[in-house]
Amino acid sequence: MRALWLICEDKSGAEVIIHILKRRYPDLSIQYRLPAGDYPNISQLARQLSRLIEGVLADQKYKSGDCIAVLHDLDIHRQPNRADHETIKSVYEAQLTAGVKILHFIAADEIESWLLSDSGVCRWLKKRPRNHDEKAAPKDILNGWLDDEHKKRYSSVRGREEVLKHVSGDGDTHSPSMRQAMQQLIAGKCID
Amino acid sequence: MLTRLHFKNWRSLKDVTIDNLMPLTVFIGANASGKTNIIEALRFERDSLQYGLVNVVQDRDYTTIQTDAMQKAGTVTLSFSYQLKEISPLPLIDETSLRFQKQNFPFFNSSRLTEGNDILDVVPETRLPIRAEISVRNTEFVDIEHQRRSHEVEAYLNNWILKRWQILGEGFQTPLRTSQIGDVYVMQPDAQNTLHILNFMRDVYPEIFTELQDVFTWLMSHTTAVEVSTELNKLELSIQERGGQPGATISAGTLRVLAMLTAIHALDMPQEYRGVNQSKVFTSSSPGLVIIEEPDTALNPGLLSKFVSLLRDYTSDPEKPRQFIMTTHNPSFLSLFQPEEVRVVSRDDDGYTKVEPIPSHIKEVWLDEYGLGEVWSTRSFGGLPD
Repeated sequence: MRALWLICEDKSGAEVIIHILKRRYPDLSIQYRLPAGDYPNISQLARQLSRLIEGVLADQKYKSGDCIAVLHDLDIHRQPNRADHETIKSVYEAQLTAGVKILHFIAADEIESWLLSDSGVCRWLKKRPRNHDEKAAPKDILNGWLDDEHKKRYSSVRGREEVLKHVSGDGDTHSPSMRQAMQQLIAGKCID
Repeated sequence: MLTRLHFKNWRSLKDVTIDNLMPLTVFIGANASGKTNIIEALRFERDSLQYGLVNVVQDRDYTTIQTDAMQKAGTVTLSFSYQLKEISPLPLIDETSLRFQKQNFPFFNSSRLTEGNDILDVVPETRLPIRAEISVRNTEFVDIEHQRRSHEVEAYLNNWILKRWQILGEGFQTPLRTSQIGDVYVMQPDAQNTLHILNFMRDVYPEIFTELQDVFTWLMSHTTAVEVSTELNKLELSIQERGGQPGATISAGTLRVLAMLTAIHALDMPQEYRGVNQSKVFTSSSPGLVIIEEPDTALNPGLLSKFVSLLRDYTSDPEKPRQFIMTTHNPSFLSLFQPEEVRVVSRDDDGYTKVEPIPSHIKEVWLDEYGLGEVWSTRSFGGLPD
């Protein structure tokens, strides 16, 4: 079976996309990697991306036909300095040119926008699913919704787990950035 | 030196081989991955020699010895391979099998001891506890020379395990005071006899005690001396701090370091044992094995680096061959080891423990700039919780 190797900027982002993909493609085998360090972030991802990719390609479990996907937030509203994003883009393009089967998922503006447009999450939070890709801080919006409806915080591990239990995996109906990511998966023949 | 472990149906280890054990080997893994089950196998081996196999099985309960899948009826096998030049230039393999029915007793035990390709001794499956009418043990070999060699190797090996293995289990701690009865050579897994060993060492082998004290005060640089006194039939620990003041309170980390160093230096004390026909002596130059569960608990990361450099000094001393087997959860501690010294313990899809080396590419891809503990957090090898 083909596997998808996700390289994410942090663990919470990895958890979100894994829940989405598992709902959509239950048989897909997923491995994930994070940048080294106690608090991985976009800068560490930019600095370590080449190593992370090299490590995946050297992994005994990696098979030709497997896909690698790099996932991070667009952060256009919070991160005026685009150097890390540009570095990631150039590493991705270099690997693509070198023939590596690699995808680049960019969640606008944060991966939580994919949850704000998810029908299962919205049903549980009593909201209408729609596009939030242009919003400045989807994480804060989700935090507010969760607090209003269930008196929980998305920023807490248990609050996040609770949200993820309700994921339907269909946020791409409304979220253009998620749609683009899912289309890459199909175009890259990463799913059977 | 212990070179290889093989377990079948032992607790969560259904069929696991761990080879190429190093002078320093550290097992890493998530909680309940099976690290302690590996250490437990070593304890079982030593305890069955010390207290007798029947008592040890009774104490542990057969349901905790074998894997869940084997609870109906199966064979548990523990195999230990050694390279012990004092007794043989060839590898020695000591294998024990236990077969349970649906209860602790009776169970069936068989064993095999080999030296290189030579099978020294095979004990066919025997019902334990032994019934009176079959109380004579049958061995398959009657050749006298073979039997002599078998007894010689067996005597050495059994004594070596009993007297030269220091095992410190989870949560070990030097007590501040204790009664006067306790073993003075071999550390209890909970370290409750640390003061007995120290007291004996100071009285009988003061030069070893002085060396231990030097190492301890170097490692714990706020201290200047360790003292053990006798008070109302109890042994009492005191530690002098810099400035000549007695330590008002002794920290948990300090007490654990003292236990670990005591276990290590106790191996320097000569210890007599009974060979086949004569008494023999283990000396400081005899090999020693020190097994420590989570040595890093309660230790500052800065101290860990000094501690591991000290362990490296011990393992590199050709006059005192020492081997250390440890477990840890701590990335800072892990970063102090080479990849070949580490084994990753995790559960497979069926819930059984698997033990793997660090993938070979990790060194090349990461270790020029990152420590092994940092790389652990990338999930490039196992041993982390989901």
